[in-house]
Amino acid sequence: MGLSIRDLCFGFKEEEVLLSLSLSVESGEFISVLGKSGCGKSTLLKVIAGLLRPESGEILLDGENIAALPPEKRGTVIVFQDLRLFPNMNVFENIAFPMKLRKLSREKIRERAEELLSLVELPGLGRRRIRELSGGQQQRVALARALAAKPRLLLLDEAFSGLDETLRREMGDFVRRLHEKKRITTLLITHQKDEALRLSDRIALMSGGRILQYDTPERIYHCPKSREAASFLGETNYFPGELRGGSFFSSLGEIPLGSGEEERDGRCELMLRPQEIGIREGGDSILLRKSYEGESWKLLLEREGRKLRLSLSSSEYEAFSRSRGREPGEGERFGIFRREGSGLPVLLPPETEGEPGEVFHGKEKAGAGF
Amino acid sequence: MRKAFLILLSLLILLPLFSLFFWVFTERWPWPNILPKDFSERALKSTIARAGELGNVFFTSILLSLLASFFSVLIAVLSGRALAFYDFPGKRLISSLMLLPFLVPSTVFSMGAQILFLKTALYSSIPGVLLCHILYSLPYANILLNEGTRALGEGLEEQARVLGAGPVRAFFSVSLPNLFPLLLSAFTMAYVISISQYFMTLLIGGGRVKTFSVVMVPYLQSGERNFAALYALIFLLVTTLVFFIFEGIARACTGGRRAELFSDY
Repeated sequence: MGLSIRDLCFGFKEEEVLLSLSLSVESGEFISVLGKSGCGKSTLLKVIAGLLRPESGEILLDGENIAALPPEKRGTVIVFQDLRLFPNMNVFENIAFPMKLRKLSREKIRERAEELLSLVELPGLGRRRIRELSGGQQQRVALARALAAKPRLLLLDEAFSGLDETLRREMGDFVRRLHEKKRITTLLITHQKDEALRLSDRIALMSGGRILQYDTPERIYHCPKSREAASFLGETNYFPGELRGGSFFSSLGEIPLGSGEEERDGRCELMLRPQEIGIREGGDSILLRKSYEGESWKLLLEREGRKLRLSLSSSEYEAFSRSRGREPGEGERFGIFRREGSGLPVLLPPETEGEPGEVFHGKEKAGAGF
Repeated sequence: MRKAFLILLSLLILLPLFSLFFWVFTERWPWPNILPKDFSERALKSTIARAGELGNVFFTSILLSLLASFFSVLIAVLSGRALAFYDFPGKRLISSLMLLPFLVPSTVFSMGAQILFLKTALYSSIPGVLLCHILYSLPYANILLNEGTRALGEGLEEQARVLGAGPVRAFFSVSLPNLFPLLLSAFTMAYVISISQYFMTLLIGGGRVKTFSVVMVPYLQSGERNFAALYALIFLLVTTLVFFIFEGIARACTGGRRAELFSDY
């Protein structure tokens, strides 16, 4: 059953924030809604939880339309970015709060609170004041409190944004482990693509109040449906060319796509991620800039008036430097090629043509490459 | 250094009080005598003889001021929420109007109210005086609670709602305890404003509503300093006692802990 949102519209003053948005989440799934600030993802969460009233649309949770229910009757619990732990209560009282509302007995509340504290790896901290906890501990208390409310749907609103990089990663993994244990249907709102890719069963890419693409992390990353979707998940390079007789022809050469693409003949562009492009000695691409980023080197090249971004792992960069006797220098010319095993080629309509979102993914023949 | 400063500060507060205590038993203290010339227990004896009457006056004063403070705080809490969380036409105008009694001198306000009340049953009555005290102490409570409510925001209540609390429960469980220090400040401020009103109480009460200020000020004006000093000391003692009771109630309500207002949430 899970969550099903149909044609949800919400406006604030004269601005439309959610535009006929639809989304379907299976029971027990972990979904990330990924989008830039201001795209409406937090509004979506508040509308689902009942803190904002939609103009139209349906929100079905386990088959029941909850759009008209007040927040306390929905069973949708949000863990907000700022956690919103109650400062007038200690850790135990915060966790006990939703259980008291459900009128559980004192004994049951104590037992369950202790269980939850152990689950979030904070046993024995019940008596602590909220301000006496670290950021990570506060995060865990907020999660325990949310679980104490026995949510039908757990909504995480940029829940890890306030943490430093290491803690953010740790908490993300922790939440995923909790999800594996409890299998609560979860919607994570985030603007961190790595978080979404790592934690989610599926990702909903959101922009301008709409879902751009909704798919598994692998497909979202490797088969974006539009340039906008592609740019969400990292840097992109485009190579203009032509689809002809089941093959794509561009300055990189021919990519055979296999059968089924013949009828789509015409101009289009091949999208390659920086790590899908290799570099070799001699060619028509000028190295403009390079920067060291620990695990990798980022190279900016210019080719046929277009900027190209490449990413080489540090070991690849060192091997290439060794093979030519010196490091690649700015202003030097190099050749580029599409790496072997880059997956399905992503062909998108030229920037000035075609409908936004239109895409045709090539069916590459095994072993084809440049 | 800090200790010396604190001692100096204490002396600045305690010395005038000590002088008041001295004045209670002083009948005449002509200049340039360093010590009083005549001592007497006249003020003390007379006051003890009028203890029953003064008890009633105190009861009226405290009850009136407690009620005025209660209603001021109640109105300030509700208006604070309306101004902080809702958009409605004339919001800024209403916000400014609520602070108007701040800008109008007490005498002008009282005379205006008297003219208005003369036409109604409110003149020369406790409800009339109470209404004026509420109106006059309201801006003080408003300023504190409007800002406090805005700073606290709706976040905690929203969290309580999604955890399963209804709107009323969310307010009483989360917002109110976190606003408690400000509520207490607003209540105390309104109480002090109300209990020290002399001219307003005299004018609106028509001399029939007797509060402690109304009884005390004529002694000051007529030069009966021993009576005025004794009344001032009693006033101070009773007010301090009332504040201790407030403090006790606050401790009981917050479970003996300080509420951590505005702690990032």
